[in-house]
Amino acid sequence: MTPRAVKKAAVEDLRNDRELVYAARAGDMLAFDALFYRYKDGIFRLGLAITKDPSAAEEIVVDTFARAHRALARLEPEGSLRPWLYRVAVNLSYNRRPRKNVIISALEDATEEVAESGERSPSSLAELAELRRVVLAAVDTLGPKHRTVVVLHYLNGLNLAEIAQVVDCPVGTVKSRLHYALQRLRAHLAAHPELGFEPQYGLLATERRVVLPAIEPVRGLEE
Amino acid sequence: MSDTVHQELPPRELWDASIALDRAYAPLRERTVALSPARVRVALRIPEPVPAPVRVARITSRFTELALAAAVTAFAFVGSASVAPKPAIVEETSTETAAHPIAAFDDQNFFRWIRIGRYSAPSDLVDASAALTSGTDDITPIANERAGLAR
Repeated sequence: MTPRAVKKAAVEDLRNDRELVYAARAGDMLAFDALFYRYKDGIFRLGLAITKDPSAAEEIVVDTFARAHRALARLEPEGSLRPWLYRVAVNLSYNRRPRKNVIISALEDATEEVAESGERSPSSLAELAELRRVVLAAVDTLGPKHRTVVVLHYLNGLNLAEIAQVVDCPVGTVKSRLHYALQRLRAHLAAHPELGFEPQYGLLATERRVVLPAIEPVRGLEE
Repeated sequence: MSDTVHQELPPRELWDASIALDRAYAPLRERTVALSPARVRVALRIPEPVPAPVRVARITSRFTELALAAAVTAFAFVGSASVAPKPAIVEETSTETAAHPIAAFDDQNFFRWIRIGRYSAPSDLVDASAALTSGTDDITPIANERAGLAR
């Protein structure tokens, strides 16, 4: 098989994580490759959000899977291997200090959007970029515990139970951390009235998928 | 999450923050990384699995390389042995037999001419008119020799 065919077979592998872990433990390199292709992007984003350094995020991906390979003999995933991998990635990310002068530029993202999309005007995209910058700056002011919960929930899309597994704490703690982070963010946004950010009640379908799970910790606190 | 949860609206003051976070991370959610599992194997020092056809091709190319190297080496050594110049200057202290240089063509002819003239003059090189008659040539020198002895 050519390398391209090997990659295609690994990407399209439909076995669940548990089966892949057992196959990789038996020496099936294709199974390990399938796990790699399944989770590399999520781990990269997680590392990038915490370290703000793409090259460091790539190293975190490699180191995470290197540790997973060494731990294959004792891994016993119940369902998904994702919480275990993300826990390793979070630990590796916080062990790396962010490099100075390396930041994720919201303006660059906006510039790319201007090139790709002709629907929004450059001024509205610039406002959006500024809003992103303020929001991400607000997230950076949070402590590591709260920031991790926010990144795992809003960036990686993990539910509260999975986040609880990653950070190794009860689900109630995750809820309270997320609630605290949202309150801090709201206070931060209120300090920037020039952004003109208004609460939006009519969410798009894609936004409901991401936003609504965040409601759960609020419900939990209210109950 | 169930639909009943979706229908319950959260406090409005947290909706805006939640939406802002969602939008702020939207570009980052699209980011991908071009990494290969080979990077992990390198980090673990695990040899990369090689498919059988590639393995055969590698062995064949290796064999070809070795044969070519042997042929080039043999050609270089044999060629240098056959055309290597002999030393023209021989040391006087050398105990080895000196290799005399081949005489030039004129020298060879000169020595040949001397040999021909003194010992074996062929008939075609001798002037028949100047040749000595038989009989006189045999007697006269003997007489002279006796005269010399008598003195």
